Amino acid sequence: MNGLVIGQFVPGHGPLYRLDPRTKILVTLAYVFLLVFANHPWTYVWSGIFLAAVLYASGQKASLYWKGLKPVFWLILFTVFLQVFFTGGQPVLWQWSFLKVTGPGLVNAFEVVLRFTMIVLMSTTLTLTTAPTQIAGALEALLRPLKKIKVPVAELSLMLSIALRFVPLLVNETEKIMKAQKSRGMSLSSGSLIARSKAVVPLLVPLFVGALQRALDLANAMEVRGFQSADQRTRYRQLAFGSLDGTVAALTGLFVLGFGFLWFYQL
Amino acid sequence: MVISIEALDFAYQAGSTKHTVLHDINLDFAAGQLTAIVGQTGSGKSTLVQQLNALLLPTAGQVRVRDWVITAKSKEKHLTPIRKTVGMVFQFPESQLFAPTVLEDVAYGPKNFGQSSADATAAAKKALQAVHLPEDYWAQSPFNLSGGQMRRVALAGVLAADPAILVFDEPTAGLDPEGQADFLNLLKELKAAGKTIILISHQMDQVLAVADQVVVMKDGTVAAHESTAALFARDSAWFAEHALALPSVVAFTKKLVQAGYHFDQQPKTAAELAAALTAQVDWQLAKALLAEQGAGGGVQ
Repeated sequence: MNGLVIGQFVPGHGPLYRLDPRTKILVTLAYVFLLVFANHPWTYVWSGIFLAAVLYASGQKASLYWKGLKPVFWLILFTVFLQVFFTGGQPVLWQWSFLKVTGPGLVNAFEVVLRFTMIVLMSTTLTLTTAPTQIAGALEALLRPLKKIKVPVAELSLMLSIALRFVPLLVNETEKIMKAQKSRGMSLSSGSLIARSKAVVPLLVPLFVGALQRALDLANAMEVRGFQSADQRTRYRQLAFGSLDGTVAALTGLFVLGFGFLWFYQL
Repeated sequence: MVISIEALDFAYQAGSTKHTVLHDINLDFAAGQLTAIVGQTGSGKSTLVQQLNALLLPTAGQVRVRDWVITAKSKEKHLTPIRKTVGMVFQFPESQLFAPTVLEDVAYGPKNFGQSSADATAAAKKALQAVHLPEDYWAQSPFNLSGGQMRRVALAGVLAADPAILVFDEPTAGLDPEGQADFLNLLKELKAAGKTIILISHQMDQVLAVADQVVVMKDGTVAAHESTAALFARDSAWFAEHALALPSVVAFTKKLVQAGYHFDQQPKTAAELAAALTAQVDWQLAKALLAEQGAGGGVQ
């Protein structure tokens, strides 16, 4: 659990840490959105260059990103498996019963690995360099226009920040319960798949009971301290765009234009 | 020795940096003894005891439990016998309860350690009797019980596997005085039954009352490991230096010694102290003084 990097904030000093969180969220969204349209090797190369610059600007070690990728390795492998063995088309390179490996299948699998890795790395950079409360604050600011159509933006933002605050608590709680059940002989690493699935029950039940209890305690604690509506909340740190945000916006604009050019002309 | 810790170091790997918590720990725990581990919060007590049943593996050095050796390279699949031998009760153990009934929850451990369903149920019943939880509750959901009752169920859940060594990490936290007294009695019963017990506690009165040996932890190292009598014979300044509170009985005894009273050994409870003090009173003199005061129309 200690090695979990995705979704975790790691304090640092790179330029990305000085960016307004709204900028980081918008750049990440734009990058992920564009990557879906990558249709040619050069679009991937161009996206790769932009990603490399972002990773460098985070000032974090490459080993940390590698750690972040490890937990999704099996998911990537599963997707690759589906793409390789279940994609139709010509030429068919290998076939056994309903399983077949085709040229387009291999290309698809390669593209999926690239896209997946790039998206994971980009979103990891966002969470790695932005504190959860900053993300919640930025989302609230970005969604503020929706207030006009009666979307409870402040409440949603508060829910999000509380949910984010609960993540490390739940991770700690899971570790604690896991240790207690291991002491009573629980094993998640042996037995059949069904046995392993059953073994999770002694972990999940106390975790949910504890989480619900914690949520009730928090609600009570908020009420006794006079919480009325999330709308009236003020923030200690006010968000403000700086010159660095302007530079990043310009560079992102350049990336989008370059991507659009490569995509349109399929170079 | 039933447990030997040799040159143990431990570091948590937080992110990409190492955070050393334990350094050069060398300790022995004798069979049948009750050893208390005390020290400030963050001194490494809980991290240390989690090495004893391999919930955490040492970064360097080793832990020897009977004939098993736990090192940095120990594999999860080989640890079951160690975990059966070393039962661990965490702080607020009721957070581990999960089964639909009390009996099923308590039988979970023995089943995991290879007992048949019937044997596990029998072991669970025995453990529930040991923690004095009335039979009426056994078929109920553990979540319907009071905090104190849930704590007993959780304790029974560990005792049911009949471990030879029991580790308690601040087991009385959050319990009322009656619950704490019940737990102390349980500890005495377990010790009388021959169990080796390791107890982490911040309550020095508790340590004085039940421990044979005390380990004092400071900044991830062992600051002292000696008999309870030897520890409490140290002067008050040493306790202050290690951020430990003196049990009230010990503090009062030290004042009485300064005032000229003598005690062959440190009384462990207020009742023992009162008895030892009473034995030193010159009753002839006291009676004479009282009579003199009475004749003068003073105290009745």
